Amino acid sequence: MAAIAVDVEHLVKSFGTVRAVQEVSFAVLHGEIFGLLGSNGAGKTTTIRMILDLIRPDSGRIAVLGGAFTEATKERIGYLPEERGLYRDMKLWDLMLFMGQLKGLSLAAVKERAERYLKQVDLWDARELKAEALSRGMGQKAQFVAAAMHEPDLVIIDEPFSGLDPVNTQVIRELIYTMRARGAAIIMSTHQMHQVEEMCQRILLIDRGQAMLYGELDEVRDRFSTNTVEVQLSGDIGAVPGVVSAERQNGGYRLALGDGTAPEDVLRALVNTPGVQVHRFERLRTSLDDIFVQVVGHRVETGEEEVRP
Amino acid sequence: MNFRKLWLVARTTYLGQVRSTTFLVMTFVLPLIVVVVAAVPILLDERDSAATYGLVDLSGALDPSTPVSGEEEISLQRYDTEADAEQARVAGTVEGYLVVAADYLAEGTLAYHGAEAPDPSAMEGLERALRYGLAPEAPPWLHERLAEPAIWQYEALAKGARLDDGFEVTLWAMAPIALSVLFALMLTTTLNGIAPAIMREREERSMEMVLTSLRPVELVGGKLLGLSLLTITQAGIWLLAAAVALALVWINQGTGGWPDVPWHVLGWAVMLCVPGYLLYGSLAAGLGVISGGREQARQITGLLAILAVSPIWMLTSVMKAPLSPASTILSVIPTFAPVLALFRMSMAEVPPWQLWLAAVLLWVSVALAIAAVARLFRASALLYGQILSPRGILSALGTRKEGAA
Repeated sequence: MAAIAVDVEHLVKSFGTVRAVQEVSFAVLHGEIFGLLGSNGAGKTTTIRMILDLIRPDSGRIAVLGGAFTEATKERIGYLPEERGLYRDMKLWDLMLFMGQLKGLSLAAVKERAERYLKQVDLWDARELKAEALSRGMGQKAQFVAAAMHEPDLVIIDEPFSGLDPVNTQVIRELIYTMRARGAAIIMSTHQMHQVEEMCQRILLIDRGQAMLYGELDEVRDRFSTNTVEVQLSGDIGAVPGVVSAERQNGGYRLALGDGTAPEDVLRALVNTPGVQVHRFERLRTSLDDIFVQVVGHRVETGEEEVRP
Repeated sequence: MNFRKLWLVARTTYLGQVRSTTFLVMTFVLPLIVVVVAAVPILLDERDSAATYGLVDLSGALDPSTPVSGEEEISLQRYDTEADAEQARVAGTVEGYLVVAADYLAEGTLAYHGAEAPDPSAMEGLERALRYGLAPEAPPWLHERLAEPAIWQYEALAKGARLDDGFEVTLWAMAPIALSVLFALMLTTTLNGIAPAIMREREERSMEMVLTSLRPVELVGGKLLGLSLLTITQAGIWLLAAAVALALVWINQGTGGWPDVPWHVLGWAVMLCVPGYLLYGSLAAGLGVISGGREQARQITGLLAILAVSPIWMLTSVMKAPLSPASTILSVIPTFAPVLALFRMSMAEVPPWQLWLAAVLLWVSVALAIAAVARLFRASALLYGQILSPRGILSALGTRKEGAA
């Protein structure tokens, strides 16, 4: 098992009478992308800020990169906050040199890294532009580079893909994968559930400051999945043993299986049914979107604001 | 405190501003305008002093070969009668004319006729001519003494320096005053730029990212240091220009050598004005952090500028009794120290311990102010553009880290 990069135990934080985070515990491992999910106001940002030592918890324990947060820890962390901002009147190149050196890189090293990363995200030709002249997407990529070019051991990224077109989304995703391959622990906070499904190994879902779901993504999805399969076939389906109901959908069937019926048994029965040809057979797993709505749906709809310090 | 990061912020702030048009105009064009404005009257005076004057000697006391010497070149035209001289004045040949009365030797009466009074240096030249003319046969040494009866030497109040010339006396007396005025001027012209520089962090939403790289005190301290270095650069260039101008005046006097410069005053000016600027800069930064917007910050900073120049209202009492207990106490209060301590130095020999006390109190105040602003800054950084409430301000000042506002 990979080493633990962030270890959070029984974290509590209140602002006045509002309990923003209540007894939250989780761990993030090196070499994984960890999804931190929750609706607006759930307590994600407060949790992140406590990890980053921007605010102090009322109680609980946080270990970052093997111990308590120190000034030296800052140079091993990259952070892309949800609130984006760059020094508008600084040239992109000067900005990179400034941010890189703040993270402890030498001038020579930061020049080499900045050039490499800017080329990677297709911003090299824009290096002499002032930040105010960058488009939103360019600015977001620039900020990502500023958070990543010192190649930190822990990266916390808040909504890394918002406002990016598919091409730039892919560019950033590749950078994240590269960081993971290097062994960095990545905490990704996002509302884009399909990105989480695609990229994260484990997740924590917070609602009203409380941990609602925590663990392997596959396990979580299995927990919420019903015993249902979707099939595309030609021929008459007839009565299949173990199938409780069959509903036509998108040119195929959605089959609800009875308790104790394994999907493999249904597939075997269909394949052996005369006149039936199975083109596609898939066990339906509840999407993370559906899980999210089930757990915190009411808050998503009302759009309550996050309690921010 | 990571001084490398603090310096990095300071350097970035400095380099970002030093090439700006505003800075270049303020630093180079403004003094140029001042020099031009100051030089025009001098040039006009030069023209006046070279004017021709008439001389009518009704006493017969002046030798016809009387030379007219003085600091300024004077062209002297003799006339036999006042009518001739008046005709020449009306014709514009002379600016005016001096009439040595017939009873001059008994009464010493002189009369000048002209539309305007002659330049004082021209009048001094005429008087020298009169003194010379009274004893045309006198030996050269007597002529020299008659021309310049007294050459003063002054003992400076501080350091026991011996000042040989009125220029040096003026320099020693005026240097502390000029430096304190320069300090007040720099404060009033640059303070309103500090709050927006701090607010920029909040408005451009870069604080949260930056604060994961350094401490708030390093960010605030670095910004203040960078802006202070900018002001020091500007003041240094202005002082250099003033020094060059004074050197030209000195050379023009033809005294020879170089004047004694009150270096100790410059040293104390640095010791007091640098922390003084940092203190006011910290206060301006603090106001920038807690204010609602740039316009509000400018208005509040305007009040701070009034505080900065408030020592001027105390000058009368300080100048009357520079060594009194009241003057001493006022001059060690950090917000007043740079101006009042320097002013006292121009009036009296201030005990060094009082200057040291003022400097130490200033630096302690700077440290406390920067620490307080850093705490406000951290609290403000987490508010996403909201303004710190009074309770939030107290909470931020009272704890090392807090999120509540």
